[in-house]
Amino acid sequence: MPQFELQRRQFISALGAGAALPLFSWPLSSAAESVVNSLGESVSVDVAPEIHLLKRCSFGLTPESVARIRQIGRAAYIEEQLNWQAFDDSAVNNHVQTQHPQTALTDCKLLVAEPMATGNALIDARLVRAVHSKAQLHEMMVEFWTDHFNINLLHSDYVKKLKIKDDRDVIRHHALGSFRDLLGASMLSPAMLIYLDNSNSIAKTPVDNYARELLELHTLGVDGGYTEQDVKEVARCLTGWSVAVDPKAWSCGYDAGFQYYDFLHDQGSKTVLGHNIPAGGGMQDGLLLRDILVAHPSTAKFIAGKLCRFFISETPSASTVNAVAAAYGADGDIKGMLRALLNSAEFNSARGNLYRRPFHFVAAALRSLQLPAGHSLQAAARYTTEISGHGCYQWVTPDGYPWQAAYWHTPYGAITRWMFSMLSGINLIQDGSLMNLAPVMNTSTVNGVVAGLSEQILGHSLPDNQHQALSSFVSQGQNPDAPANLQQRVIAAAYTVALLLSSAHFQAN
Amino acid sequence: MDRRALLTGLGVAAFAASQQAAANLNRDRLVVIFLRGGADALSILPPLQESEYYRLRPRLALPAPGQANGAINLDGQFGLHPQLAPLKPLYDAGILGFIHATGLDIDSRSHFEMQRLIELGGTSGGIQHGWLGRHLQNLNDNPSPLRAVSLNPGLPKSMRGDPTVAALPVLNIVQGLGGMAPGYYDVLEALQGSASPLGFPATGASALDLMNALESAQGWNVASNATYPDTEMGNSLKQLAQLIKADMGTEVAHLDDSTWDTHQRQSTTLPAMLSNLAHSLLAFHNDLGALMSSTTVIVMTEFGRRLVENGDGTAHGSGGCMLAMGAGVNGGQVHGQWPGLAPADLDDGDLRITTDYRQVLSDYLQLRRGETSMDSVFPGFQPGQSSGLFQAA
Repeated sequence: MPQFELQRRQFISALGAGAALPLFSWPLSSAAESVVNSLGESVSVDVAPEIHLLKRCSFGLTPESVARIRQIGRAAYIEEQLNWQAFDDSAVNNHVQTQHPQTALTDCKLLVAEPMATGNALIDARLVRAVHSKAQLHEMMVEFWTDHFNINLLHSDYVKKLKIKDDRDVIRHHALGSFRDLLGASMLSPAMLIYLDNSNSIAKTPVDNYARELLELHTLGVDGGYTEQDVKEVARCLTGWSVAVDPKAWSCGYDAGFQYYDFLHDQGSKTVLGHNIPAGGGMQDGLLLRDILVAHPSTAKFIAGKLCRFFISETPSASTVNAVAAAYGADGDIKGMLRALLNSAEFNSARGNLYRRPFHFVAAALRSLQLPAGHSLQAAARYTTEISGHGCYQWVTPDGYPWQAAYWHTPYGAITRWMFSMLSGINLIQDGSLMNLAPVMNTSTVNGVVAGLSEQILGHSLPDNQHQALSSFVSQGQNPDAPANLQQRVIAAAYTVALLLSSAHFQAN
Repeated sequence: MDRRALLTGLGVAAFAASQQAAANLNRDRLVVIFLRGGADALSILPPLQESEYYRLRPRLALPAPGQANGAINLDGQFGLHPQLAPLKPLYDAGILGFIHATGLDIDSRSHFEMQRLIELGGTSGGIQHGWLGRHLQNLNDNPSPLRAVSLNPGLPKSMRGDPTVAALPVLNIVQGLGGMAPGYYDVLEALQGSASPLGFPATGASALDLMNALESAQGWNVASNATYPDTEMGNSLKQLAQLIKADMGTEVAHLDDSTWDTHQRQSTTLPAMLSNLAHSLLAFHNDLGALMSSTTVIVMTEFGRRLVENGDGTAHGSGGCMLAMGAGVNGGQVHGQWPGLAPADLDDGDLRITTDYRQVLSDYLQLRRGETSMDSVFPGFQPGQSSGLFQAA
């Protein structure tokens, strides 16, 4: 059950209102019926290469982003996205700072903030940025690393506050930097050290929870070639790595919050993965450990494999994984790995074989409908992610949200998406947003609305039989190619939006 | 165009027929609860006679029976955690039993690796589906869209492989979804299809079936003697009881419960979680009433925790335990072969596994659910001597 249950009532009542609207008890024409009944098993669509790239490197299509990639081409688009700091994202930044100011709190103020407020601000800001940031590939990598270094916001009040710092200073700051810096920042992250119990790990009673996940989930991978003894030795290296939680002791410097307690550290020598770490190293032990982990060949392979599963397919080829791992370099060059991956032949040919997770689904819906930041559908979008079991920062265990379609692709999951899609259509009719959409305004027929919205929302046209079924339903039994007035087109658009967002095409990535 | 008309259009008659078929199934309902994180078997069933237990757990060992907050004596050899006291009457009545020192004897202490292997039900490579998924594939006589449900939002690995499994965390989710014109749902279904090279089973039709089924399951009341905790587990089991009482054809359900990974603060967190488990199970038992005689709950975890405590916590160990309640359970006993806790009896400092978890589940599936193809459910596993936890139907 969603813990941050804020929008449930609004959502249900909005659906209720929708159900009560005099919506359209249109008879399904017999022509459409026969089309529906004749649908075969082999409907396939043609996803253009630039649309494919755009879908994988963003939270969904917008008319602007489609125009941009068509203007500069795929290779230049990848480079433009990798150079993410050059984007002028002041609009979304200003929106987040105004509407969710807790996300900008400095460390000392974070600690005394109200935890529900900080947690909610972080969750809401995540969706706003995913939908509205121009640095879309950066946002996708934020998604990737947020799962990789998963921290459950519901762990404790401290984490509800300190995850803001982790999101900002660890994940976002290093998402397209070097893995060495990213890992190093994560190892100093108070939210991480609390979440995985390292803050209580001391020489006398080392706690190996964080140490184990550092090896298994963050660096080498479970088959990466470490032993139980390595887990224990890593835990010893990190004894005394903790958090200062007394507001008075909380400085506002960059590393505020992290605290190394030398008197609680195990000062003996350690052996990690065959490397000797001499006695008396103090905090240096952990920094040496970081470098050992970053340099281990299993780490490059593990990160490369995960990137390929995230961006290419659930079963990428070994050769592509190896090519991406080769771009890892000495420090874990994240941009280099993405460059190798996104320009690979396997990436280009793996079209439509991934399944959007719930967060991606709602973000893509909001993007495709060109809604402004702060639009009321955002609350429904967040609610949808939470009832779908994909609420931001709410996966309990440190392995991060599952990425396999087999986990998400369920009848229940489909129902939650259909509800959101239906609500979107209803909502946009009520607030007039549909009249901001070119496919509704720049055509004179219902068929034109359906065709235009298919292109805008899906990035391709519907297969003929599906197009006909949809078109004939939303034209209320009239000729879909006959001139339709604005009201008719808007009503048709509301249904078209709801049904396109519900379609299997829109779930595929 | 109201909901009823819609339901008629979508085949309520077919659904009624599926319920009829489900009612005739000659096997018990199975509810699996997975305690994720590694539940501490030595706190659930403290070994009262083992001096090493008291010596190596000076802080966390439960006081002996009769002392303040002491263990509840079960049979002289084992106790029960005091927060599990609500289950003691069920144990005494023979409805609930345990088996100690269970697990999967693999040299790994990773949560995720162990959960994966346990849920997939085999240790050889290339296994994609889960043990429950394969068991369900072997049974094709129940057309109910609710025959198998995950009570969490996603599908656990154990249920993978059966395309009909429904994930169902929130029953009333369909409220309001039926308000559209019937034609809407026809087009909706048309837009599912196999629309892309995804190769997934189509969820469109099964989701529409699910909507109809959920509609019929609304409105069942909780029995007056059942008090569910207002927790994820309590609410999930309440919903499941609603489905079962509404006779929706549900025969397998799975519930995940997290945060059993008690590295820290075990003396405060574990009692609260055990209390939640006990009160949830008791409420479910009372709520089901007579239906409990055809329903079995099995509680499992990926491993136990180390014998030696570590401050106010314990690290990942080996042997765990399992609990079973309801139909077919040889209750009132702690089953299993106790390996002892003397240094020579341990497995690298941990409780040794003496019963493979697959033996326990094989016993159940064979004795109570008519499974005849155990090798398909647990590939490569040869069931041996019965664990004793279950009796034939």
